[in-house]
Parts: sequence; C-alpha cells; structure tokens
Amino acid sequence: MRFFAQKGLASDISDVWGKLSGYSDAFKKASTGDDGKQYFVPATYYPWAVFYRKSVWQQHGYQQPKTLDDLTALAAQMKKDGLTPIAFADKDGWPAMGTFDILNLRINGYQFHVDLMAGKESWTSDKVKKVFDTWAGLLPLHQPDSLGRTWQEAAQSLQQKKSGMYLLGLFVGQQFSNEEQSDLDFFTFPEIDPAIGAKALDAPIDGYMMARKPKNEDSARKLLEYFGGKAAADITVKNDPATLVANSGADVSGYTALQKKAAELVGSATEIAQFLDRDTRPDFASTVIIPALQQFIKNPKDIGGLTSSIENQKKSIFTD
Amino acid sequence: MSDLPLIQTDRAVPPPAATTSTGGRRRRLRLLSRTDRVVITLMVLVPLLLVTGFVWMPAVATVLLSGTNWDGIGPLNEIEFVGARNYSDVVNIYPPFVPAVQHNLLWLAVLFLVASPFGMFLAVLLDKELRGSRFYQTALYLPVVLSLALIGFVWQLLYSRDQGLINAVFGSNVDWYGDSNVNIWAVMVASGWRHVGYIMLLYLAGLKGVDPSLREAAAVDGASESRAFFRVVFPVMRPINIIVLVVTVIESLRAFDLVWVVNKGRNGLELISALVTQNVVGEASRIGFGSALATIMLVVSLVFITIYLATVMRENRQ
Repeated sequence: MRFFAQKGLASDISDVWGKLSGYSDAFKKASTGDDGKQYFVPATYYPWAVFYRKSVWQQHGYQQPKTLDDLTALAAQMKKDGLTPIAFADKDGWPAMGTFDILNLRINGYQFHVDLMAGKESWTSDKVKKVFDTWAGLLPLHQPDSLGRTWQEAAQSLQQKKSGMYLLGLFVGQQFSNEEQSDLDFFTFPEIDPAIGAKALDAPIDGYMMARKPKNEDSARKLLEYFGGKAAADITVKNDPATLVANSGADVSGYTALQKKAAELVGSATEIAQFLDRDTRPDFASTVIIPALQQFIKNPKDIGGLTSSIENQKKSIFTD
Repeated sequence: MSDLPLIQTDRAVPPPAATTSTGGRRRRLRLLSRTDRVVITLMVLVPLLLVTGFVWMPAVATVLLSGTNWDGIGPLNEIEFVGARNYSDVVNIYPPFVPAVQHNLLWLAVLFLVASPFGMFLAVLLDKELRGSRFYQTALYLPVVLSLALIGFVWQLLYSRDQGLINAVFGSNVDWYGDSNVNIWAVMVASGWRHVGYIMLLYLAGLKGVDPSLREAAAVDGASESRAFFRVVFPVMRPINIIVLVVTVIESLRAFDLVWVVNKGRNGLELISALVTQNVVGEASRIGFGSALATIMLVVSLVFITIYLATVMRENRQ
C-alpha cells in the first residue's frame, strides 16, 4: 500500500477514516502511508502461524514449543516417529517469504524487519546473515524437494497426517474438509531471542483503496465508508471461514474456534507485518527475493554470495 | 507460425519481356481500374499500418525504454534515462540471466539435434504409407493442436513429485519440476513431444511433393533406402529443409509458454522470454530493465534472421 501511495496512485482518505469506528490502532497504523495520511480501509486479514492436526499431536503426545530449542527437539522427535517435521513448499516462490519474515522478526525484531523491507538496512549485514544461518540449520527438518511442491500439496501432506506442522496463513484450512476443520490448531512461531519475544507476526490485511482521480469521488468516499462499517463487515464474516474480519464491531458469533483463536492472536500482537512482498517494493520482492530464496533453499551453504547478490540488486532498484 | 514463404511453385505466368519490363508494368498498372487501384492500396496499407503499429513501433519503443528505469507508472515526460545501466545490471548482477541464455542455447541444440531430426524421420516413415499411417499421423500431430498451457497442465499431472503418475508408477521420488538439474530436461521432453509432431507434418507435406520418378531412378540404380534418402530426396527437399531449420530456431527462441505454466520460469527453467515477462508484466513492472532483456533477445533473433535472409536472397539471385 505504501509503495503505491508514495507513487501518488492512491487518494488520501483520512476524512473517511474520521468517520470509521471499530478499528484498532494497529489497523490504523497499517493503513497509514509514509506521510501520515490514511490510504486504505481494511476489510479482512489472517495471521501466519504454525498449524498442526490436534489428533496427530495427541496421538504422539506433542506439546506446543515455546522456544526455538523446543521446536528443534520436537521436530527431531517427529522424525523418529516417521513424520516429516515441517511441511514446506516454494514452487510459487512466495511461501518461503513467510519463513524468512518470521525468522527475521524473531531474531532481529520488528523495527529492523521494517527497515530492511524499506531498503534502509543492508542485506549483507550480520543480522540478515544470522537469519539465513538459523534457517539453514532448520532446513533439514523441512520437507525436502520443496521447489517442486505447491503450498496446496504441502497442506495436503499435513491433512494426510504425513507432516507434523506447517508454517502458513490461515488459508491452510481450505485444504481440509469441513469435518476436519475442528482438528486444525496452531501456535505462533516460538521465540528465538528472549529479549525480543514472540509477539510480532505476519498478518496480511486486505482492503480497499481509492484511485488518485476517480470519476465519481463523492460516491467513492461514501462506498469506502460503507466498506469500513459494521454492515459490510457482517457480510464478509459469513463469506469465508479462512479469513478474519478487520472491523471489531462485526458480529463474529459465527466464527469457528480456529478463527476466534486467530483473532485473539492478532489482537494481542503488538507488531504486525504485512508479508514480505507487501512490505517491500513489489518489483524487488518478485524479481529478486523469489529467485534468491529459491537459490537459498537449493544451496543453503553460500549465504555470503547470496546476500551480496541481493544487496547489489537492491541498490539498483531502490534508487528513487 | 504461418508467415513463412511456401515452396516456390512453377510460375504459370511468364515474366514480362526484358526490354519492356518497367514500361510493361506501368502499362499494366494503367490498365487497372480505379477500384482495383484503391483495393491494392488498401491491401498494402492496412497490413503495413498494423505491422508498423503492433510490431515495429513497440520494438523501437522497447529499445528506447531499455535505456530508462521506468516502472510503468506516471507520465511519459517524467521518464529518467539511465543509459546502459540496465544492460550492465542484466549481465553483472542479475543471477537468472546466465542460466537463461544457457537454457535457450540448450533448447536450440536439443530441438535441432534431436526433436527436428526425429520429426523428419517419422515423416519419412509415414511417407511409406504403411498400414495405419493415417492413425499415426493424427496421433503424432495431436499434441500440436493442444495449447501449450494445456500441455503444461497435463504434464504436471505426470511430473508432480508427490502426486504425479511417473513417480507413482515407477515408485521413484524424483522432483521432476523442482530439481533444477532435471526440470529443464523434463520440460524439453514435453516441448519436444509437441515439436516432433509439427516438424513431422511439415516434412511429410514436403515429401509428398517430391517427384516419384527420382525415387524410382534411385531404386533402379540399386541404392539402399537410406542412401536413396540422403543422396536423392534430401537435397531435393532443400526449401523444406530451410523451413524446418527456421521453424526450429524460431521455436527455440520463442520457448516460453511451457516454462511459464510450470513455475513462471524460475529455478532451473529460466528462459530469456520468461525473464522479460517476469520483469515487465504484473506487479514487478520493471519496464526499463525488462526492455533491456527484450532488446538482448531481439539482437539474438536478428542474428538468425540475418543469416536466413542472406541465404534466401543469395538463392533468389542465383
């Protein structure tokens, strides 16, 4: 959103925001551009978390890990029990960004992550290298041959009880049948640095923006006001069980247990990132990061070469 | 794929006499009615405008834009020129570029050395009109009729690591589409499957036009099948051979649909055309950078086009 707002493609809708209610400060912050004005009316959102099947975990007696060491030990135990510890797919290029984001948020904190996305920090810094190092250590616990697998196939491996857990968005539930929805549970990625904790997460928000010069500006603003209101939110809630509605005034009595838990998770999060390809420039994310992360998964040893390649390309893109 | 010259048939109309050639043509034009002249002008002008507008102007615009860092947004007069920086970026710091060039060359080599000769071989076999040749013809040509996007999807059902047919039948675990050592070959098999049918049909059509008396003469002289083909039929098929060569080169430069459908041209399936699309189309919108890649592709194509035109023009002069 900020990228397009800064290019002057979206209209300032701060006056619409003046009439809206039911949005937390976190949502207002996420809707605000670099110049302090609002450009975005949130509609729905969903968190990224580590999902698992309750029945499988109960059967093997697994507990939710609270630290990275717990997670590694749990994964080792899963391997012994014949499961693939962490399902993983990156054929489409973007799912691996979720892993990078959460590791960066846990290891280096929210502010560093936001600055890195904005191009203000160097990809060759030790902080970024530490993220890749940690990830390289965890890769053996991930499903092998991820570059030929789509996220749907990885989610199906979770559904078929072949994998123990999967870091993905709430939409992982789309690969489960209606009866299996209640078997799905999640936990937020465990903390790595006790000083940073585990409060930050990726929770992409979808919503509405207004073009710079709409033909019918007054009606557009009225429409945006409607979209940000309770009536529209109530309709949205009924539509998709794999997403959450952003307006806290909506009637969420129809939420499943999973949705309620997800809403609580995001509600208690102090720092919400949008996801790598929305937090940074889209051309950087799609033409540089996607091939770079796929290259990393193929060859996790050459972190130095990888990060300097990313940094060189970043410098050629972030020129304006 | 159809704007190639057909075989030159014998001219039924004799050319005008040498001494009055220009005078004769002008005299013939004056004999045309006004409607004829208007129709001829339109028939030349309309395609000319279309080709200029849809092919030449975008090509020139691409070359010009390759010297900018435009991102597709904003007014044209605010475009910044950055000279050759995009080209140095492509060559120096863009990791997918070198693999893409290698893959395009590999594609050309495989099509030229394996797929096209195999198609020609099948055409020679089918030319013998054995039993069931009509069935084989249809079966071999069928993949050509399918769109490449559909072919990509069908082969995905075969090649998927977890749920594909090949791994299920052979019990193997090969990551056909995800392992960058393997996937370019997997995709080339799928592409060759289609290319073979196409070349086969082109060549079969040409073989049907070969004078049967030549073959009879070769048989009478005691030539074996393969000698008869290589020494007699093949040289006579020179125009078709050139067409097959041109089609092979065009298809290898144009290769795009299949890799795009598989994984958008990443991770071992890089091709220059896919890189251009990745950069120009969609959220990336790196118009300047993508145009530099497209210009490189244009220059490479021009090399082949020049060779082809030089060969054809030399022949016409003979």
